[in-house]
This record gives sequence, structure tokens and C-alpha cells, in this order.
Amino acid sequence: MVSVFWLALAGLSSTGVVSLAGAATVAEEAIDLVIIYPEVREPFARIFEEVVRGAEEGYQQEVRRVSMADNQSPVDFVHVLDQSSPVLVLGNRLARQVTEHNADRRLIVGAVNSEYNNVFGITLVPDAAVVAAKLPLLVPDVRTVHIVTNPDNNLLDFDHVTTVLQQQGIELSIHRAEDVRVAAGVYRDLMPTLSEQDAVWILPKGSFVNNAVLAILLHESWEKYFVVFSSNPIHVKRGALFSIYPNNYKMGLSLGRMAWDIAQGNSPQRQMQALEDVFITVNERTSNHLGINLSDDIRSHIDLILPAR
Amino acid sequence: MPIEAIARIEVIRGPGSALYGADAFAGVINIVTKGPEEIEKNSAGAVIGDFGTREVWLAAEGETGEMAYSAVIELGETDGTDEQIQSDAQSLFDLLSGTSVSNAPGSVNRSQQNIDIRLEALYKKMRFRLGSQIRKDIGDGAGAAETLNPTNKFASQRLNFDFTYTEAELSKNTSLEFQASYLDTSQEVEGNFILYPPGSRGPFFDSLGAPIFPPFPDGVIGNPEIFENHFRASLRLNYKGIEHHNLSMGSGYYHGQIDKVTEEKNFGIHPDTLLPILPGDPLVDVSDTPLVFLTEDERDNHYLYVQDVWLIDNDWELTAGLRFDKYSDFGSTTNPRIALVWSTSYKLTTKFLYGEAFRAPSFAQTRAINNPLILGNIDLKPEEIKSYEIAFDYRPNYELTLNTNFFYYDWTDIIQFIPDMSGSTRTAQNAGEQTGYGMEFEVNWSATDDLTISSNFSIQKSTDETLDVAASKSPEKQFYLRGDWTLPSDWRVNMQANWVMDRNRMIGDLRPQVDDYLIVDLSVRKVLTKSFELGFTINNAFDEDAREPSPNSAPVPFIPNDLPLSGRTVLGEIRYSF
Repeated sequence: MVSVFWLALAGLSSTGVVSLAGAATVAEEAIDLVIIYPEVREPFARIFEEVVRGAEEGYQQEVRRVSMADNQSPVDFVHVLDQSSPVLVLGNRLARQVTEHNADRRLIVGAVNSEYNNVFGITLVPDAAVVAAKLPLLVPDVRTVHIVTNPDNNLLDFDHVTTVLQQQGIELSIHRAEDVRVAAGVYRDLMPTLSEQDAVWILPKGSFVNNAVLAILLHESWEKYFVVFSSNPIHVKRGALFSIYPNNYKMGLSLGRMAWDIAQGNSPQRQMQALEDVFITVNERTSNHLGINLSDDIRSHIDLILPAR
Repeated sequence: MPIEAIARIEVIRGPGSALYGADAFAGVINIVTKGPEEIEKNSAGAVIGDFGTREVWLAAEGETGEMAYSAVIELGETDGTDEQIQSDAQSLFDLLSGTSVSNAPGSVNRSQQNIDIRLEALYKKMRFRLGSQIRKDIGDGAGAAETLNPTNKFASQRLNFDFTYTEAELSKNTSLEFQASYLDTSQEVEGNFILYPPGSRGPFFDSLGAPIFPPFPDGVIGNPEIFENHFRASLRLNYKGIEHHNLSMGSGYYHGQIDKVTEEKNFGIHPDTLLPILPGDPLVDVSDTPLVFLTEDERDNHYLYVQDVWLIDNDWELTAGLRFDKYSDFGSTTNPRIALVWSTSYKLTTKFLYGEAFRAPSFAQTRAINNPLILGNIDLKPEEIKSYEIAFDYRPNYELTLNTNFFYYDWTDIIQFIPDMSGSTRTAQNAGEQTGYGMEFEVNWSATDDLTISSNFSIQKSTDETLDVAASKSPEKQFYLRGDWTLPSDWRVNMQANWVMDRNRMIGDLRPQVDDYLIVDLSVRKVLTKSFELGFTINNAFDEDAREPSPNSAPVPFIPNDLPLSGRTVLGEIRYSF
């Protein structure tokens, strides 16, 4: 596997030289974007393929793709790259390794569900503005959104979320839990207090929802008519009302454009942005149960409706 | 169509004539083809296997401006299988007439060559599809007259074209779909199609029903060919403007015709002399004469339907549909469908279903003439079915889905060939009635992240009401089990087993019940690189001697030991995507 990695590296540097020489005649400033993404099996491979395709489209010059297997480290590879090349790193593992060891580079991270300091990038956590727009559209009666998480983890800008939701007359209620065991108790105590005016938001990471918790949560939401939404379309299949999850191609496009701005020196702040390029899928069985009328107006805001059984 | 062009197959259970019209009888199988949206990468592949099975295919897609297009091409050939028929109709004739010309014991004739091409284009709101299917060297199985004739080969050519226009937002809450399609298809004979082998002396029957033993040095030959075409146009409107209702209505037109029938034969009546064609005479072309086997004819159908999906209450949804069909030859029929779906709890959904459907008499059932054995009947009505069902969909956890249903059906006006008073022929009549009840049970279980198991079991009892006996042929019990494993290093293993049980003989058939059978198929796939994938399949891995019932005849069944299914076959496959 190591030899494969070095082969890939050698191939990359040689073509990089050729293309840089060629590009010089086109534009003085042309700089290649390097995209590093994990080598995974289907169906996950397709997700990264879509993001990479979007990024290639969004970045207006040459793009180099490097996929890395589980046992390969991107650190040394990034280290030998030209300083001016923006590097787009996809996926949590690679992003963590690169941001820890190659912080001096022009790093952009994508398809990650944690916050990183001092890098550009887009998280998988949907922008609160998207949630604040979609939630009242589907369930106008909801007054409180509950999140079970550890607020000390830097997963979400909770002040920002509070502000945005407040503008829609919705209160944000954070329920502290440090681990799965504590979270199970928190959910257990929370559920009896919920009604039609409540919604539970399962974050992409840090809401401590495993299958057992999800089953109880969704069963109770059916019985007590409160809303559950998340960032995982599989939860919708299992009965969550809706899910806001990445439009991988468009997210890639945004990452590619961000890399282009950085290459041009028009750098935004070195900080992560929330996800704005999203798909929304709705479970029709659950929406019927909650008495939501999916009119054409509402349907125009939904990308996929999972039909009733 | 090319297998590679299939995106998925949807099975809609139960009578579906309220939406789909004729022949949506016990269910509808919807084969969804891959268009430019589904073909993500260009790919090519090859299959090689037992009995000379060879296949190559190519699937490609592309786009130019606002137009996306795709193509799938598949070429294949096979010799079929070498399963043996021990004794056929000619074996019995040999015994009666002292000849020795039967090809039995011998192999069933299941060869085939195919060329399939499918093109699809998407432009704005329009979709165009063009398909061509050329079949050659098609064997006749165990023979049209239940005699083995290894040289018998059919050919068939199909050409289809369809156009769909979709307007998702004709006006607020209203969508529209228009579709027009054309299908041209043929059944042709390559060389001569032998009914009884060279040297056969029958016995055949004269016009009075007395046995005669004429010699046929070249065999009894009949070369029937049919050329037909079908045109369809339909318009569907969907309206969601009324709260809690989703209303669909549609109308359509169908025109089908057999535009050419040709036949050559060396038996029967000569169209010029009106005297019997004598054994040993050359082939006589009876095309375009009253003595051909089928009349050229056409059929029109106009229809109208309406369906409403009404959310009565949060957890109760009622689907009600009604379709009216008017045919130029057998009149009109109206078919309703009602489905009440109750989301009983988070884990359970309960469904109550009622549906009616009809099966249109085929051209052969209405227009067959001059056949020494069976005759069509222009006055046939469609067969009808009424079906009642209650179904449960239960999902106790995220790994397990359980489906159960209980059903009862009443099938009337079944078209059967009833012996005529006058002699040896039988004529199609709406004579039969069959009722049945049973249950089906289905499990889908994600046992681990890497192992999925699906299984189903069905049990049914059907009664031939006209004779008050158990209905024949279809299994009274069936069990299916399938496992899909994903192993490390991108190995995928699949195993399926199909156990068919309890098939009754027809009344008067004195043979013991057909043996149950259990067929196991295995397949292994290995993803070598992003581009290359290898596959290896063994069908009927344990070489089970599986048989389907052969028809009964008097005085004894012509093929007494039933019709063998394929034994063990091994196939290797390579796929390349680029």
C-alpha cells in the first residue's frame, strides 16, 4: 500500500510540473488545487465523487485528485506541496491529520462534522438559517427546538442558532449530555415533557443518538406528536419528519469556489461555514400522522418525499 | 430489453386494471429502465459460461447542452441447456404406427442469439426512447407439438419507440404527462418448423376422426409467421388543489393489429384444389387464403380513468380508482380498485384492499382458424378477477421488516378450449371459474452491517369451481431464502434458494404429483479496482432435477416425465467502468 501511495505521489508531482509550466502561458497566477479525499467503498465513494466533481467545477483551474486509503497519511504528502497551492481535504480523518500537522498551508476542509480552528471550510451541520426557514414552513406550531449535546464541544455556534431561531419566534433549548449513557437519561427525561409544539434536532455528530435511542425517540414522537428532524436521510426512512443533509455536488461547488477565492488572495476569514447547500427529504407517513398538508407550495421546498408505506 | 438497461423492477401486487387496463391481472411488473440519469459511468462487460453462453455489453451516457442521452447495447448467444426428454409425442406415435423416428431421448432446444439496443434521450421536458430487439436461433423447447426437433428455430424482431412529455406545473397544483408509443414485433421461422419428425406416420385423424397413418418423409411441417404492431397514446392529469386529496385522471387510445400472417405447410387442405395436401407433397403456401392458421385483424381500445388518494384522517388514507375500457371487438369493461391504508402505530401499517381486473382474449384465442386441434372464438368475453386482501407491514426494529397478507380471489370467465361436439377440435370458451385463498409472509432482516437476509413463504389453496377439484399446476406452497454478504476486501457473496412444493395434476391426469424441487444459486463478486469487477455464478448449484408439469393428453401424456428445468450452470463475468 505504501508503494501505491508513493507511486501516486510521484505521478502527481511530475504531472504537476508539466501542468504548471503549461499554465504559465495561460495565466501568470494559475495555481492548481489539490483535493485529498478518502478511498472508501460504495456507497460512500459516490458521496466523495460528487463533492470532488463539484469542487472541480467550482475551481476554475487545474485540479489534482488524490485518494488515500485508511493506512495512508496525508501529512507528508501535503508537506512537500507548493506553498501557494490550496489544498482541499475531505472527510474527518484526513481533515484532522492535515489540520494538526500542515497548518501553515492554505487549507480548506469539507465533508466534516466537527469545527476546526484556523482553516477555511464547510461543516456538515446545516446553517441555522436553513433550519429556521424550513421548520415553520412544515410545522408552524413548533415553539421550541431541543438539542441534546455537550455545548462545550465546538460543534455549533449556539448563540447564532438561538438568535436565528428567535427571529422566527422559536426558542432553542440545549440539554447537556457528555456521553451516550448520560444522553440516554436526558432523552428519557425530556420526552415526557414534549408535545406538538416541540421539535428535537439530532445533530450530525454529538447528539448521542444510536439505534436504541432513535427507536425510542421516534416511537415517542409518534405517540406524542412532537417533531424529530436530523441531518441523516436514513432517520427519515425510519420515521423522522424531515432531514436536512448535504447536496454533495453543490457543496463541492462551494468548496471549489472558496478555494478559488483563496488562490486569488481574496481570502475570507479562516473559519468554518455552516452548510447551505442542502437537500430536504420528508417522510410522508409521519407528516400525515402530524396532520401536515403537503401542498404544492410546501412541496416546492422539498427535494424528496418518502412515500407512505 | 438488455439486462444492463434495467435500473430496477417494481412489482405492484394485486389486480391493477383500474389504472393499467387489460391484463394487470394478479399484479403489474414495472421494469424501470436506466436513462442518462441512472447510467453514471460508461461501462462494458462480458459473460462466458456453460453451454456456449457468451455475452458482451456496453452502456454509455453523455450530454450536449440541455440534451442528455444514453445507449445500452448487448449481444449474446447460448445453446441453452442439455436437459433430456426421455419420451415425447413421437415416441408414442412410433409405438402406435411401427415407426422409429422420434428424437427422444434427446435434449430440449433452448438456444438463442440476441442483439439488443436501447437508446434514450432527455431534452427539457421530453424523453425519447428507442429500442430494438433482434432474436435469432430461438429453440422451441420441448416442441410445439411436444416432439423434439433439434433443428427447429424461431426468430423475432422487435422495434419500439416512445415519447413522453411531462409538464410538472401546468398550472398551480396541476401536472400533466403525455405519452405515445409504438411497438412492431414479429414471430418468424428460420428454415422449416417441424411439428413431427421426418418419417413420422402419425397416427393423424381424418375429418371424421378416424386414425390414418400417412407417411411424411420430410416430417410434418408448418411454418407459421406473425407480424404485428401496437400504437398507444395516453394523457394523464394530476391535481393536488383540494386539501387532503390527490386526484389523477387520464384517457388513452390503443390500436393493435396483426398486419401480416404467413404460413407454409405440408398437411391440411390445399387452398387451390380444396383437396387434402398429400403426404410427401412439397410445402404449400396458404398465406392470404382462408386456410391460414390465424386471421389478420385489428383491435381498438379507448379508456378513461380517475383515481383519488384521500387522506381521510391523519392516519387513514383511502385510494379509490375506476377505469372504463371500450374495445372494438369484445365490448366494454369497468374495473374499480379500493385501498384503505391505516398507519396503525409507529411500527405497524394495516392495509385493506379490493380490486377487479380483466384479461383481454388474445388474438390466438379469438382468431385461430384451420388448426387441427384448437379453434378461436370471436365471441369471447374477457376473463375477470375480483380480489380481497388484508395486509400488515410491521417493523419491530430497524433491522427487521415483516409483511404478511391474507387474500381471497374469484376468477371467472376463464378461457378454456372445450371439445366440440363435431369431432376432434376444441374451441375457446369462457367456461372456467377458479377461486382461491391463502397467505404470504415476508421477512427482510439486516442481520449485521454486512449480512442481509430476505425470505418469503406463501401458501394457497385454489379450487377449479367448474369441476370442484383442487386447481392444478401452481404450487400450493413456496419458500424463498436469500442472503447477501459483504466481506472484507470488497468480496460480495449472494446465495438464494427457491423451494417449490405441492403442485397438483389436472383432473384425469393419473401421474403421481410432480416432485417438489429446491434450487440453490450462488454468486460471488470481487471488486478488483475502481474500474474492474469480477463475478462468478453457479445456478442450480446442487444440480437439482427440477421439473415443471407437462400437459396431460389422452390416452397418456405425450411427455410423461414432465419438463426439466436447467441443471447446474456456471457463468463468469467481468465488468469494466470508464
